[in-house]
Amino acid sequence: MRVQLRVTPDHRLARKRVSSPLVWPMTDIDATCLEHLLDPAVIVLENGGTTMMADRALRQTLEGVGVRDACVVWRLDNVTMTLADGAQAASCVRLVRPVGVNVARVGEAAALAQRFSQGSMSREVLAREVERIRQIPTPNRWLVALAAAIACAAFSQIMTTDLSVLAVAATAGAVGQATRSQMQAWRIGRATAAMIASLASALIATAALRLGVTQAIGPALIASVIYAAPGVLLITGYIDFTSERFLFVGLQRLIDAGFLFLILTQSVLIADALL
Amino acid sequence: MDAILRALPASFWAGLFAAAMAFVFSALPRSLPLCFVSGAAGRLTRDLLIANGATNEAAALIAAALVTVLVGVMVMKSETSPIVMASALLPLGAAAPFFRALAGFMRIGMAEEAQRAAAADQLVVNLSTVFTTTLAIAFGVSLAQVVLGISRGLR
Repeated sequence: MRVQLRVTPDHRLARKRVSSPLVWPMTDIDATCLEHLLDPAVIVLENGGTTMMADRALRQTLEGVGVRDACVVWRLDNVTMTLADGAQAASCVRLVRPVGVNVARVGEAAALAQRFSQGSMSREVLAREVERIRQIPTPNRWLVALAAAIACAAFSQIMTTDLSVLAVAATAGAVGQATRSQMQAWRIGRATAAMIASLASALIATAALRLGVTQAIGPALIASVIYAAPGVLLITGYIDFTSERFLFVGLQRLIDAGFLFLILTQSVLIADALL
Repeated sequence: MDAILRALPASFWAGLFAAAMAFVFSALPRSLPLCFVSGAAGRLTRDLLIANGATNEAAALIAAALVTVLVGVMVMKSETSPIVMASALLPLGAAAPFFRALAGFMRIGMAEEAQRAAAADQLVVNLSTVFTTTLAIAFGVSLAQVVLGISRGLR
């Protein structure tokens, strides 16, 4: 059960209402409807978009049903929205799954919210579109492993001009990403998957260093795990943090990014100790 | 001209890194050239600014703003989502200092007394680099979004 709906007849959100009266009749509110209105924003949040982007998506979706204002509390683990009309208020709490990055879903969800705000789409179509976006497949896991190999190889060449590191980083990145994809398919937790995958990558780099393939210890070890670095989380965390309105979500993202970086660093240190 | 030629290889690798990471983040294949171009342009701008005496932070801020504007303008012409900008910003980030800072933090207790002060200094420098660089990128993105918003409003 993802939605908890509570209608309290005597509850008032006076300040919000006076500044911007609601035009949406509260009699229309039901749990499913509220849930669907939150969906595009939650998709943006769950797939690595900034909170500002998620907030814009929610405002546009609400515009589509004539709601001008809502009280929304954003967190990285849940979103709470309260709508008020006259003496009635309705709240909806949606859990947010662990944040990953899928830019295709973020883009589609943002575009869907914009289309819905223009009023030409029914709520049923919105629900169907949301389901379609949730089902957008991730690319083939072997192609993603190849992309991770290219990313690691390219990053190694940003750090050093030693071409021998390129092959080491590419191999380590491909194996690590393939491991991570398999862990995700087995529904193993994000942190555990990152730990195992990055350890596999760093150990491959260590083996190559011990075999004398390259002498560049730092670039080889760091580039081998860079595919798993939460760079987007770090940047979106700072963007939220500096936007003032979403300071708390920004902090959550920064702590989350720091935690993932810590996991990767542990893998690198373990591999370094084996050199 | 020399500075540009020196910065080109790193820019190429940065573009490749941005495009590859975009694919890892499930970006649509049609947006990968945009990721490559904006990632490479951002890194080239940053390196050229640093070569001309700019600080790392100022260079990152300007480069991040340029990437955001570039992506903002390009997505208006194509059907691409501006979120692909996230991967184009990655080559400007401070991932390597972040790893070094965390590794330094975990090793500092094991360092010998004589080396501890130098290790602590290095730790602070790395942490400061991570903080200021990422903050500069965030400010660059925010600044560019304001500029893009104003220009859209004027049109």
